[in-house]
Amino acid sequence: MHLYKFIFIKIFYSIILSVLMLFSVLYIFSLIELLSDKYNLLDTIVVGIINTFELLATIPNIIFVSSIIIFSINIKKTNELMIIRHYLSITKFSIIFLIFVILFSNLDINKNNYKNLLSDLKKNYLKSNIKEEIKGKIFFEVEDENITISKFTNIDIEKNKVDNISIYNFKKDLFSNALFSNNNVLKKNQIIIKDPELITSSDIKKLNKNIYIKLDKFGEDFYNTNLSFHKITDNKKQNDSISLLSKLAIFLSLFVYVSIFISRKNIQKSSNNIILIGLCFLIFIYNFFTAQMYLDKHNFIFHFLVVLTLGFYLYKNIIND
Amino acid sequence: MKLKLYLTANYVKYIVFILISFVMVIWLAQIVRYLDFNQSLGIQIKEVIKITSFLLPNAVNTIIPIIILISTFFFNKHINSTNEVTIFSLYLSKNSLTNILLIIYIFIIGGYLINSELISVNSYNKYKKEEIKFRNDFKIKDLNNEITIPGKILLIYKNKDNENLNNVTSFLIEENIVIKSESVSYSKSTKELIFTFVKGKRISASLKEKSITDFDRLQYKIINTNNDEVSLGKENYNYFQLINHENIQFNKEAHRKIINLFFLILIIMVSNRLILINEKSNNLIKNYLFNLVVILCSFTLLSLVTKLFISENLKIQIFYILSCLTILTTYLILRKKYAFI
Repeated sequence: MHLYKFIFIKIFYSIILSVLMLFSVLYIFSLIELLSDKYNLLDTIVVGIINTFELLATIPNIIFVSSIIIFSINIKKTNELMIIRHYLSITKFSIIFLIFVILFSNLDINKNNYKNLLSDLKKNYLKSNIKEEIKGKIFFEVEDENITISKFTNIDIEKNKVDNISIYNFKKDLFSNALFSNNNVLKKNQIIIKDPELITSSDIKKLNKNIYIKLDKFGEDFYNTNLSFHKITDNKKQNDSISLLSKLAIFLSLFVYVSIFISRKNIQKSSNNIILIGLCFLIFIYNFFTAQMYLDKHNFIFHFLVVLTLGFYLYKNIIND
Repeated sequence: MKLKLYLTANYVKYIVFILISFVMVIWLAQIVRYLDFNQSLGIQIKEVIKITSFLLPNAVNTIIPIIILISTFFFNKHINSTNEVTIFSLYLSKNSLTNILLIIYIFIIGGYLINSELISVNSYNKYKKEEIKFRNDFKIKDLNNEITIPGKILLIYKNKDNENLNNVTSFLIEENIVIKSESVSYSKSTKELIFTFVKGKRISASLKEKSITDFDRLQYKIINTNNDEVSLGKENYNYFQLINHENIQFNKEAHRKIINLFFLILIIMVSNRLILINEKSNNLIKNYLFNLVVILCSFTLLSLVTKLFISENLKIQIFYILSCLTILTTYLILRKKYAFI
């Protein structure tokens, strides 16, 4: 039990050290970037700190890798790694790391959410988001052969209004109708389109009734000032499986880093840390580029192969140990 | 002699290794930043890597002080844990140790000046040219059966054969018009992009126009309005060009460069003391942490003074006095009595 506690604390310290180091460097960058902005002195410091955390949120896997490197070098130098490995197999060692791997995988998978959260925090602090009007939102909803395109212009959440709304409906790949209104009210979770004009293939007329649109289907994207175009698709099955594969690739890659640094090969005095760090760097680059890739054809197979490659590499490391 | 060489090589190794690691992290962060940008701009990763690489010499100058400090922490921890610190104390006098460190630091300052005045200026000039060229290019994202040109057009197609897109639903953003067509082809030049829609319907439901039209052939042209020109910033000039520049803000940047050099010298002086402390200085990590926090606070204070100076609230003399005072006070605070070898 003492051994587990010892390792846990050492990993924890390594993470703190790694975060502190990265924070120091990124903080300097953030402050320099803000020098020419028109914030007052206190705002400069607060925005600088938030910007630093925003930058840190974009690189959770780098924090993890540097923590592992610090941890490994630290305990290897004092021969603690040799003692630990004498008592613990690579599998048991990995289990101790599991909680950190899950934590950092989560940070990496949801990094865009955390980034947006920090960005909102910054806007809240500067009280600018209240004044900010969402200029335009375009939503493409694709379901089989039915397409709906909605354009919302000037969404004012404060005044509960949307200046103009245009909606185009296509059913079975054929034009069905289009709607336009410049009299719209934003109410709770819905928009009331008052007396819209209806355009069909044969006619253009005024509808003397209100049309209600639920905003649930647009999710948080409707209120997000950063994005302007969103595609809502029913082709969830494939997207879900690719997103699952990407998550799995992140999770496996973190374990691969762990397996490289705590392997029996690394215990030997002759092992070179630079080579191991280089290897980690290669895996990181491989992960980074494959995650960005999208193939028009066989995208699923490609991402599946990435996961398999990482899985087999991890398996090889465990078996060789 | 061998011991001196060993000490020098090891310390320099730490500095170089940590510097490279951080430069890689910064480079990657820049690439990610451009790629986010790229998601909607559709540029090649090779180009992003090339453009961002020109920013690295500038980044090195910014981070070198903190890198020296962090390297010193690591090196000191290393020589303490391996007891090399005792060996140094047995075989090297304090004077010879100071001489070795002095040589390393002179090289660092020399490198810093060369980088600041020559390398980073040249590299930033290249960056500006490449970045403008890249910004002015047509940004087309063709991904996942969607074509996007930010602010201009969104297009969803079923499939593609050669240059033809089939069964296409297009949305012209500015005009608020939807075009449903059997096929679309497009031709691209640096100045314009022409979409040719074949057989379909043009529907408009906007404040300006409500209409529905059938067509056999329809052309839509997007003119490339990105014609930004290279505008040189403070980073494009070295100290002498900045100080002689007619723009007062550029002169201020030259003064800021001097304070940056003073800050580097402060870090070197602090590192010079930290590198030799031994385990007897209780709580080595606490000492490192204390030094790091004080240095970060000092940097924040210097930045605030610089900000006041840039925004014309401070005179040059006051700027120098306040900055030098901050640096001096920081040094005095950090001049703690450690247990030395």
